[in-house]
Amino acid sequence: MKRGGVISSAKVSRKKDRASELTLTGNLIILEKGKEELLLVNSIDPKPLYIKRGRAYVKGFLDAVTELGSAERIKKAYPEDAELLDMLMDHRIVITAADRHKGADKTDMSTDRKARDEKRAMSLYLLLTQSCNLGCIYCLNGAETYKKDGNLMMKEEVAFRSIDRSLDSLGPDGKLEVVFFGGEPLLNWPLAKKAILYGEDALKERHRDKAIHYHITSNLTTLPKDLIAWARKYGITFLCDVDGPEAVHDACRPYKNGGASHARIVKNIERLTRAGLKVALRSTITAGNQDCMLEIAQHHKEIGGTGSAFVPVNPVNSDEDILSEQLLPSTAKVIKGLAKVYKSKVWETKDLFPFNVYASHVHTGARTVMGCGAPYGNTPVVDVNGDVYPCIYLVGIQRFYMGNILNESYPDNGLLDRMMDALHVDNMPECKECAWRYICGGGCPVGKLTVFDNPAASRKAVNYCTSIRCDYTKKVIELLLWDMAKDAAASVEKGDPDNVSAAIDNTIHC
Amino acid sequence: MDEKGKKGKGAGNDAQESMPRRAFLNKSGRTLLFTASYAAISVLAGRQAAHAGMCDAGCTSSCVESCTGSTTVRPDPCSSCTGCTSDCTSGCTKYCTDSCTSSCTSGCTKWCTSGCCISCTQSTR
Repeated sequence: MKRGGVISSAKVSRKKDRASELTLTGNLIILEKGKEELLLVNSIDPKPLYIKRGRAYVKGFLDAVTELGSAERIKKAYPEDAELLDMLMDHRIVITAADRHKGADKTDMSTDRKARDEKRAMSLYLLLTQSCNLGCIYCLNGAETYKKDGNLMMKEEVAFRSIDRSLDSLGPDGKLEVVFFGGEPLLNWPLAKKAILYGEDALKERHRDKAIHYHITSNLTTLPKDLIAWARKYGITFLCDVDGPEAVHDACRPYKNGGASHARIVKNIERLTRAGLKVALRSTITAGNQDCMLEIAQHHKEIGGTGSAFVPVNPVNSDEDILSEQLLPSTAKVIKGLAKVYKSKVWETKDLFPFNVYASHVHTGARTVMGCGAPYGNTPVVDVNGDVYPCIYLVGIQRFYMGNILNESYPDNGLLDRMMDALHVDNMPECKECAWRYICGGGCPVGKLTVFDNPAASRKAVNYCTSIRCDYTKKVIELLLWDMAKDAAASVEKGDPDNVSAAIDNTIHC
Repeated sequence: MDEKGKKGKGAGNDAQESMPRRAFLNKSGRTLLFTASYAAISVLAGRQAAHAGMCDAGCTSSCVESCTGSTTVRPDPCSSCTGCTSDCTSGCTKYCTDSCTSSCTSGCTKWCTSGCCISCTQSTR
C-alpha cells in the first residue's frame, strides 16, 4: 500500500505539472498577410483568432510560451499580457500539456465508427439507368463497369428495397436523400415516380419519424411532361452540369452524336426555375474551361441556378482507365480561377462549392477526419442490379463492392472499416503530421483510391491528384479563413480598423 | 526569450502608446483584445451556424449532412474546454459550444448570453 501511495503521489505530481504546463497545439495553422496580419487556427477545434495588428509581437509571445512553458512563468515575464494568454488558450492556440496528454490534440477514432453505426442522414444514389444520351469528353462511367451500351434499367424491386434498407438503417428523426442518378436518370423517369410513391408510403406506414428528400442529378436535356408537377408536389431538387457559356459547354458536353446540348439544357433550366423549382449548377473543370471560371459562375447565375459548384475533373473513370492528360487542368490555374470566383462575390459563400462545405468545417468543436461520407456508408450507390458501392466514382470496381441490396451481403462493414482506417487523416502518412488535416479532412480520396497505385497513371496524373487534394484544398480554406477574418474585423470596427473607441462603444462590458 | 524580445513586451508604435488595454465582448459575442502592441479579434461570434450547401458528388443542401456532416464530429460536452473544472461535466454544453476559458466554470455568473468574454473577470476594470 505504501509503495502504491508513493506511485500515486508521483502520478498526482505529474498530473499537476501537466495541468500548469502550456504548449502550442500541434495542429496550428499559421497564416500571414501584409506586414501586420496574422491568422491562427487550431484545426482540431477551429476558433480562428485574427491578429489584425502586431504580428511580430504575438509571434514573439508564442515563442515565449514554447520557451517558458508555464502560465506562471509567462505571466511573470509578460505581466501586461495575461489577457492575451487567456485569449490564446480560449482559442485553443495554447493548450495545456494535460490536454495533449489526454489526447485532446488528436481525434478519437471510435467516434467515427459510432457515427457510421448511428446514421442521422444518408444519401442513397439510385442508378435508374446506366445509359446516357450525352458523350461528355471526361465521362467517368467506364464502358465496362457501367455497361453503358447495354441500355440497362433498374428494376423496381431494387429501387424499393434500397429505400427500405436505407430507411431502416437511419436512426430516429433521420433524413434520407434519394438521389436519382445515372447514366441519365430521366431516361427512366417512370421508375423514379414509382420510387417516390413507394418512399411516401413507407414514411406514412413504417417510418413516421423520418424524412425523405428527392433529388435528381440530370443533364436536363430531356424534361418529361409531368416532371414539373411531380417536382412541385414532392419538393424535388435538381443538379445539372453546365460547363460554361454555350461554346465551352458544347465542346465539353456534346450529345453522343457530337451535337450541341447547351441550348436545350438552358431552355429546360428556365422552365424549371420559372415553375419555382431549384436547380443547382455544377461545372467540371478541365483544361477546356479552366480559363473562364468567372464567366462560368456568372453564366450559372444568369441562367437561373441557385448555386454553383466547381469540381476539378477526376482523372480516372470507373473502369480505372486514366483520362487523357490533355484534359487535366493546371492546379495553379484552377486555384487562381476559383479565387477570382470567390472574390467576385457573384455567389454567396453558402451557394458556392467547395467554399460552402469547408465553411461548415470552421466551427467551434468541429473536426473533420475524412474527406467525405463514403467510408461511413452514408453515400451508397446502387446500380441497376442492386450491387452497392460507397461512392459514385467507385461503381463497378470490385474491391469497393459493398454487397447486393437484395440480400444480406450488403452492407460489407469490413470494407467500410478498411476505408475508414485507410482514409482517416491520423492514419494517412501524407496527412498525419499536417496541421490542416482536421479542417481539410484529407480532401476527396478518389485519387488516392484509384490513381496513386494505378499502373496506367502517368506521373502527371498522380501529381495532379496530389495537388488537387492538398494545395487546392488548402487554398480554398485559406481564402475562406481570411474572408471570415475580414468580415469579423469589419463587423467590429465599422470602417476604421484601429478605431478602438468606436469598437468599445459597440460593446457590452462584462 | 532574448533581451530584444523582452524589450518588445507591451511596446507598440508611438501613436498607439497611450491606448488603454481593453478586453471585451462585443454585442455579437465576438471577443476582442486591443492594446498598443496588437489587435486580436475572435473570428467566430457566439454560436456560428454552419452553412449547408452542395457537395461534389452531385447532391444538394440536404446531402451535406450525410456527405460531410458525419465526418465533422462535434465533441461531447466539455471535451473541448480548455479549463473546465470537475463541476463542468454534465450540464455544461453551453460553455463548451461557445467559448470556455479557464476562468469560466459552471458557477460563473458573468457568462454572456452569446459567447463568453475572454475573461469576464479581467475586463471589469
